[in-house]
Amino acid sequence: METGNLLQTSGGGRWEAFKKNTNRARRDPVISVMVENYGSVSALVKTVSLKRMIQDSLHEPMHGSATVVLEDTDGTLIKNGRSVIRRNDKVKVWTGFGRSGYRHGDLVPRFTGIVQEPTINSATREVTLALQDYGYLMKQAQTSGDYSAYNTPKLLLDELLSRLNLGAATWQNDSGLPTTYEIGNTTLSRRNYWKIAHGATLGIGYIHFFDGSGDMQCLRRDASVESGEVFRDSDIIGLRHVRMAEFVNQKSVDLNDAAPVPWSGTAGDSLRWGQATYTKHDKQSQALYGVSADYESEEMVSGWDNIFPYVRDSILWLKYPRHIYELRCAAHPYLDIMDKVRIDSDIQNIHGQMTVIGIDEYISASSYSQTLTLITHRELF
Amino acid sequence: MAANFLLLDPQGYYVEFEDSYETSAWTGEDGTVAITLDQDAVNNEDHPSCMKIISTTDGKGGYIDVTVTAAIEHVVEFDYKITATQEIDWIIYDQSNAGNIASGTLDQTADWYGFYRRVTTPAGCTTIRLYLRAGTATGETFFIDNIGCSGNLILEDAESANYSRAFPRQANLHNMQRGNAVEDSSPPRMVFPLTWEYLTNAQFSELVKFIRSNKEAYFDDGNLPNFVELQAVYPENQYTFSDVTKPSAGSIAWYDTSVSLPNAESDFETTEFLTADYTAITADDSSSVDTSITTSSNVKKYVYHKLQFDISGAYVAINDIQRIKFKYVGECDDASGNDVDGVVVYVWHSNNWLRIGETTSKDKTTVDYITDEPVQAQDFVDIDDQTVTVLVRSRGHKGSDGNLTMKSYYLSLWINQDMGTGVILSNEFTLDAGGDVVEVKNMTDDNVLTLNTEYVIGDGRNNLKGMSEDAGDLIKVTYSPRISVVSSGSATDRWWGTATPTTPPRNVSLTLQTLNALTEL
Repeated sequence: METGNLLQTSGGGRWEAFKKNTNRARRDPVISVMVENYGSVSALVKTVSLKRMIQDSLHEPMHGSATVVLEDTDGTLIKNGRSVIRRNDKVKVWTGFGRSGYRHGDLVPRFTGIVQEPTINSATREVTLALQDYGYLMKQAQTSGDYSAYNTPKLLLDELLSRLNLGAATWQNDSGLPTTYEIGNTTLSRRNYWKIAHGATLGIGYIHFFDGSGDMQCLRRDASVESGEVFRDSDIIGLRHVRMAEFVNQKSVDLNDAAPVPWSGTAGDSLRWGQATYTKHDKQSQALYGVSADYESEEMVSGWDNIFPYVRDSILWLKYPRHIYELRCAAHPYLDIMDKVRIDSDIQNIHGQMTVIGIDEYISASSYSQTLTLITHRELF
Repeated sequence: MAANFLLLDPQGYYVEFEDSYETSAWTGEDGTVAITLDQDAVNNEDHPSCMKIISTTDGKGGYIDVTVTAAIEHVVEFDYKITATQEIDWIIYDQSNAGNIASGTLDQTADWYGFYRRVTTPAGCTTIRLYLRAGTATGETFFIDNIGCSGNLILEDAESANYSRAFPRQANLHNMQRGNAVEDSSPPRMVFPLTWEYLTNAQFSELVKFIRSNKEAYFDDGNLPNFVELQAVYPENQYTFSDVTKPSAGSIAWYDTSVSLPNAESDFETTEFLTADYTAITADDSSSVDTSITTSSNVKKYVYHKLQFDISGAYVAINDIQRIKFKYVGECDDASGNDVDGVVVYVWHSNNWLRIGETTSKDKTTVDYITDEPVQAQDFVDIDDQTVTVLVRSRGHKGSDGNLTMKSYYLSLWINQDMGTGVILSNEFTLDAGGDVVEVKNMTDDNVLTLNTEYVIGDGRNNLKGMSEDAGDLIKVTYSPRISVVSSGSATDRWWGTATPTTPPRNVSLTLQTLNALTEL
């Protein structure tokens, strides 16, 4: 949950007021956008749409993207037919709602990334910034080789982030598995940083994504953040069942030797825990694509001594049938990936705890709408 | 008869003193008065060029004649800054009839303030002479900027029966499953439809100036809603390296050379500045901190100056940071064949280094960065250890030939500029006959403040200055907004006959639309 600077403090705080304003029947959307090497463009923003999403399976999470449309009202954005804001400039977007009587509203950070491409429409004097979050940077950078100096998920990921001049990740329970789990095989095949991050986090049952501030969040897959948000019919524009979540009940590893008890009842069994299409004979795939899909995590396992959390935790999170829903609502800017919300729709008879795995928002001076992609929790009766 | 409605001529006299002809149009009253195009060196970001008047004779100054229309309302406005003990005697003088229309004295010194008066020209007055004179001491400077004198384009009020204002809003409804709705909307603006059943050609000729100008103008129908805005008083501090000595336990600076680009917050803390270096970078003058790479063994290294301000004495809570302003002056000369001159200026920003500006010249250049949006300003402060850190890098690295030399002349960090001593508003305001807004009240103390004693009208007429209220106090400002309008849709003029085609009387319709959003009423 992104709260920006609104958290309750001993000297006051705007969190409760902000939450109330978000849930009022009438709201004044507010946007603040800052661009590196330029400054604030808040007064020039027409619309912002942003999208951040992870996955409902063990596949690597998606990275976020956004589009900011600016109106060049004073001729400062377009010079000599070119955008003054350039590719790779960092951009940060805050959103929120106006506060009566004050110049600036209550805002929370909602998206941070870089400009992938600025485009100009000279007829409308608009500059459109196509943004990608830092996950995109991680997908652009590749590496391979000896990473034995970074033999825990935390060490490895922080090193990769550091190489891109990004801040260290925030780890849930970082003194636990992120620092105690030792990666078995640290001689990595060539992959982009994002895939390696996926391997390192999946191996200990974690999910990673960049939050609205541009900080990488590494959270346990089996934990979610209780937002306290309840969506009733009076809060729901539309609620749609999208599909079953991908069912994960096995995971493959290829150690080329027999699994010990309790992994195998009989020595020599070729046990496979697998979502990946990989088999040890799948050399054709390796020849075509360099590596097998979803193999980055398997590669970091070297023996039965470090396979346990990898297999157990990653499967546990998705081993029961789950469902994906899409919820449309008036935007709640403080909800973030992995936040837990409750759905109570009597009209559609859909009730239960769900976790946010995707955020899709559109904001202008007169509208702030949101579509949340939700995954149901395991229901035990 | 003067009209009740005011539509200010956007093509009246208004200069920002960008060119020398704008000051040469002003006349010194005698040989003891010097009028030049200059800049206020202290505030040159806000007033990069302005008119400077020095008179060695008390009561003498400069003037300009402005052609006006008789018997209509005019607005005279300007920004001013008075040094030391000087005062400005201002006179709005009827040159046609030889008499004062209005006069007064401005005595607020040492900062930029604003002046605004609405006056009605007397009958027969076709020239206003604006006098700005030294009020007391001699040989002291005063600066003038953004001066205007414009008249009302409405000579005859629009038809009262058809005056129907509108307050359109941009709104979107989110319809919920239950049947209720949430409305997101932007604040409303205003639309003023004006109709004249009969206008003489002379009256229409004035009005058409606005229609043809394609510019925004200011409109007042005498019944615009007052705006109310709130702002707390925040501690305001400007930081430089004044009085810092090596080794410093507070604000500190280092220099370094490295092949690496900026990464961690603690990078490049290699060699602390000498005390003489701190002195050199304290003022925006000719002294600088110079760092060179000369040896070929250091090829591909960048030069770094890392400058960290300790703000712990004033700021421990992130919400106390509302506005931030950086000013860096430096240069870098790459004498190698690469010839990549200039510097890149970063600030530690939340969790990485953010570029706030760069230069490409080997000459001394200023990099400014300012934001008055709290969430943006707060990202520049590491509130855990209460520091703000600026990193300056040579744009190019050391080439195989020639030296790489970076010089830092000045760095200043200003937190909450004018927020300890003033209020910045969302809109420009108009002032009453006494040159005041409607009301300024300290809500915390339950005390109404007094003009020119407890606050002063700021420059640009969108802020108040000169306050000395306590940090944390809440100030409420009620003001009459200066509404800017544009022509909306197509204006029409329907002739009452073609008998006098060069001067036809007509029926005219014109719709004005505000550009301002009507903030909290």
